[in-house]
Amino acid sequence: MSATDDTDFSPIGVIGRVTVSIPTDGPGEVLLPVRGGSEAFAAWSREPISRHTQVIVVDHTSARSVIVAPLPA
Amino acid sequence: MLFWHVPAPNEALLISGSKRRTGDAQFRIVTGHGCWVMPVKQKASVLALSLREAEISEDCVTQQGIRIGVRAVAVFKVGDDQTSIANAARRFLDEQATMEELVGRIFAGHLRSIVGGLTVEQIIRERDRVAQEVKEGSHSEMEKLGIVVDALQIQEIADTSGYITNLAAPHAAAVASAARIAQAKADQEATEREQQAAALKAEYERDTAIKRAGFLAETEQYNARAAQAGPLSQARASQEVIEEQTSLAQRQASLAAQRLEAEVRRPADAEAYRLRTLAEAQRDQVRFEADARAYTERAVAQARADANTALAGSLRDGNQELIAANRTIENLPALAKAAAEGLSGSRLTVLNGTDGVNEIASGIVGQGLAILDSLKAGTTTSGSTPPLADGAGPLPQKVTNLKRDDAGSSGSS
Repeated sequence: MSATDDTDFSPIGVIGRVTVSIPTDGPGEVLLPVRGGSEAFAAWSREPISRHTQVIVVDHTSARSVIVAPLPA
Repeated sequence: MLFWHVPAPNEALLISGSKRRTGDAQFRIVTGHGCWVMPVKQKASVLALSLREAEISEDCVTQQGIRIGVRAVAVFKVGDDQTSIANAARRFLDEQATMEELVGRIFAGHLRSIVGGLTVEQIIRERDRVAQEVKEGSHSEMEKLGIVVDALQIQEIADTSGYITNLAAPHAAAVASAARIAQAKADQEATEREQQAAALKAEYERDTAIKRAGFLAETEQYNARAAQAGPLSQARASQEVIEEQTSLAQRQASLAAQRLEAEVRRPADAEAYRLRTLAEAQRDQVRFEADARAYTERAVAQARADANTALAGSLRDGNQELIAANRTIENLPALAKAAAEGLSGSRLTVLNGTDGVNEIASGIVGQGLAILDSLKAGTTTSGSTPPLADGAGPLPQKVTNLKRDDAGSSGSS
């Protein structure tokens, strides 16, 4: 159904930008293009990623939490 | 339409009572489009997804144990995804108005933990660390409430212990020192420039004064020259006048001199010449007369000597003819004298000078001698010299000399 599609959204594979740098042990923040706008998600990563780096979402642990990896150049 | 419900872009429509549900939720969540809501059977509620803010004012203790008063603002909204909407709807649907206060209180506790994990310097300077701490501290809890924190801004840090002031003191002192140094430098530079400007000004003033004096001197020079021009030209004019007068006087003097020359000197010269010529003529005449007289006397003496010789010869021989001749001879000097006197007495203009006189005299004497010689030739037989008529001793010597002279002169003539 369309209504379900609107709110149930999987961000995996979306390319976003880091707005709060991601440390190894804690969450940072990524801005992802979602539903025609952009939303901030808490992001974890294997390696620390600095601000303004482009990342790709590889998984999501909860509705507002994603695991990202740096976009290979 | 009564049963057609449309949510606004910042609203989520929650429809309960419907059989059709998404996932595990017991109600339908509709966003972005309208749907039918069956009356009585179904119930539609609206959850605002718009931005909300909560102000927090809290006393916190930093990592270093320093107490600061933090005033912050948290900006949050209900998340757009289905999980967040469902979580938020279950918790806040009836207390949407108190949502800010609630979240604010929660954030007050989070702020403590956030500030407690940071130092004052980090709070002040490292915005990224603050944001990270916010994410780390509040993410899981906010996710439970279905809330997304857009921003947590620390607006003000009240420095109750004076730490920040003291923290800033060295920097402030350094800044003040630098400011003072800069001001001093600027002051020094300004003074330097002022001094340079003053020096330049003095230099220009000096130059101007020099130039002004020079121009003044020039002006005065020309003024003096102009003032002198009148007298100078007057003096020149008078000088010219004097020169003209001088030349006039010179010409007058030369005229007078010429007049004198013409009127006095020339006549005087002519007179002197005339007198000199006359005197010379007279002198010559006297000399000629004297010469003629001398010749006459000489001739007379010779004739007398000859006559005596002839007389002596004739006396010695006793010749009558000689005696007769003797008479002649006796008379001969008188004859010659007469002739000579006639010559000297005559006022002849003798053109030929002394030679002319001699010629005449010798001519006269020569005639007398020719007569005498003819007489002598007749008496050569006697061979003796006639006695002197007047008995004068030294005369014969002179006569012979005279004779020799006469012979020379006659031979030459």
